[in-house]
Amino acid sequence: MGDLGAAFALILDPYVLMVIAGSAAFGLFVGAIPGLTATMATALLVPVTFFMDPVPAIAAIVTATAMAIFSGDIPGCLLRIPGTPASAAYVDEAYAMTRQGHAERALGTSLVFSAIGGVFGTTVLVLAAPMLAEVALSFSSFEYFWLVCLGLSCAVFISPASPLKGFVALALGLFVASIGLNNPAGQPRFTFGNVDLMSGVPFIPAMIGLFAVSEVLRAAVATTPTPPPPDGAITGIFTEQAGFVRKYWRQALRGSAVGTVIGALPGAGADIAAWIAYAISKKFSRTPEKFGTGHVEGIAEAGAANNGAVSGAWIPALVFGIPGDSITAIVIGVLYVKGMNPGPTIFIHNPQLIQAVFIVFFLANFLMVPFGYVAIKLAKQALRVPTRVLMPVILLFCMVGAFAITNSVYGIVIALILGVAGFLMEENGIPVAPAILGLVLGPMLEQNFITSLIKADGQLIAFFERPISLGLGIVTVIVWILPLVLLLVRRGRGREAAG
Amino acid sequence: MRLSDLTLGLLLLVAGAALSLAARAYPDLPNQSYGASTFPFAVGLALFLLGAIFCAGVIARRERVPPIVFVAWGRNRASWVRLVLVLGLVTFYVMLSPLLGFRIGAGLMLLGLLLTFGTPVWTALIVTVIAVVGIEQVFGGILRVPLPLGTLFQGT
Repeated sequence: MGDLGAAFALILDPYVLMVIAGSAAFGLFVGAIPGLTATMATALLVPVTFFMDPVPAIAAIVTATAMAIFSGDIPGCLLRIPGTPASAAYVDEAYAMTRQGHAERALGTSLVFSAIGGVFGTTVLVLAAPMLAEVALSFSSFEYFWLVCLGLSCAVFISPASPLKGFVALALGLFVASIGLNNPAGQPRFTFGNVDLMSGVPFIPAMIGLFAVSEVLRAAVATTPTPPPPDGAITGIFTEQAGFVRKYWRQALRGSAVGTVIGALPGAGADIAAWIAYAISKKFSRTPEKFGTGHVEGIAEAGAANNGAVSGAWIPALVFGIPGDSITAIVIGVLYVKGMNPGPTIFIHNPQLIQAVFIVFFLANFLMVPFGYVAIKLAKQALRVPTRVLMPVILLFCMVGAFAITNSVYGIVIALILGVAGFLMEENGIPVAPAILGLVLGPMLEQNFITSLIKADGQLIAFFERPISLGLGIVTVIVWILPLVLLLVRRGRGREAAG
Repeated sequence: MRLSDLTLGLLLLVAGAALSLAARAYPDLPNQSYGASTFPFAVGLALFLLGAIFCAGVIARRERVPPIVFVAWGRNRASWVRLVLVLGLVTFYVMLSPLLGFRIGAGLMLLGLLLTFGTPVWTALIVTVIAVVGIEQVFGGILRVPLPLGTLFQGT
């Protein structure tokens, strides 16, 4: 209980509250601009939080992302362009409502149910994380190795792109992670004698490059401009919401649960959660034919899911140091930089910090309602900022941010090179998220693999000897084999049908 | 700019092979058969196998697709010009910021970027001044990042 009091004291500091308010506004703004994602909001925020204490830094990121995931719905509803990929699942539904003159219904639903989903996800996080941490304390290098493998495999197979291309991205990320001196043997790898490369590829500039710079390059080559939002103010946002919450409480609960679980799966984040929740909503609805015509049910469930996923992603991140989505991948990097290694020991060494994170999560989801209301009202003005002014300023911000991490142009060069790489990858359908996961988890994977081999004196069977590592190993191997088996079964059935 | 599966596969084959061969050169841990080379070798092998799968898929499907296809923006010359300008301007900043300092270097870079994206000149100038001053205050002033002063006008 003393920890909780300490945690509240950490949060109720005026500086921290100011940071929360500022990053809420920032997250709402970035999420509302099409082409700028919640991940990018985090990426842009990291150089600023680099210089803050851990609590305001994490508070800033938590608030910004919670807000950004909601505010991505605003341009989706008004312009039919999702502000973040997580809003893409129900953009047609929301836009249909706008065309019928009921934009406030779509936006109000998305706001209220996002807050519900976020609170649910945070509650699960608060309850589940310490319990899982108890289990995680008995983990050794074998279990961690399999867990990282499982996480990376999920990221490859659950991502929307083809698993092969996901695997390519992962391998590239793992390669970039292996550059430098930081390996169990202390051997300089792929440094070509360059002193900067000996310290490895710095994570934050790499992430700025892959997510933010590549987006700027995409905007640079785009040939079509974005259309303006519709005329008229948006009023009566909350009028029908009490009724909707009473009517769709089952959907809210189901969406929140689905979102939290999927968010907790490494590699699967808010966007996948929203798609799956929308599909589930349509499947179990009593009126599936109404979906797509401007029906609230799907938006309620998927809106709750994507905010639930944002909270759920923190469960494996805090307990195991394995990111649940790209945003938590970035957060883990930030935690390492601040000397707070995520993992079960963080609950022992820094309990007040973890409690503070939980409090910020609740605060962010409660603040979402008034802040989101203001954002919806101001949305029209924000969407008028033209891309041609926004993108160059963002690029400058990225350059300075990358510079700030390494205090040299090395950071800028890394951001630029990886920005080009990310751009080319996305052009060819190779997703960027597995690459960032590879970059973050590569050192952990290698460290645990080599440590385990040393402990087992080179005997690979040792990876299956301990009970938990045996279980994790089997699950991982199943995840590897299952897509292949399904593919063969489908091909066999196809041949039967043809022949 | 879309590469065909065959091109991608061949690139991955070459990259994977190069990576694995380069990794073999690193020494192992004392008295062990693994070490600094294990991980990059495995990654190189994975890339090689992925490349092989891509190529095998193409051969099995007997596809005849051009190696590189330019879609949408790829066929638009203005897009290529903008891309080259953006990359060039950032490179310009990287190379010349020690000489010009942050204010002039970033100012010129931002002005160039805004004009590349098609902003009218006066808007670009105003935005440049506001952005450069703002960022200098936030990063240089509040966060104490040592933004380059530039030797051109400092005499050192």
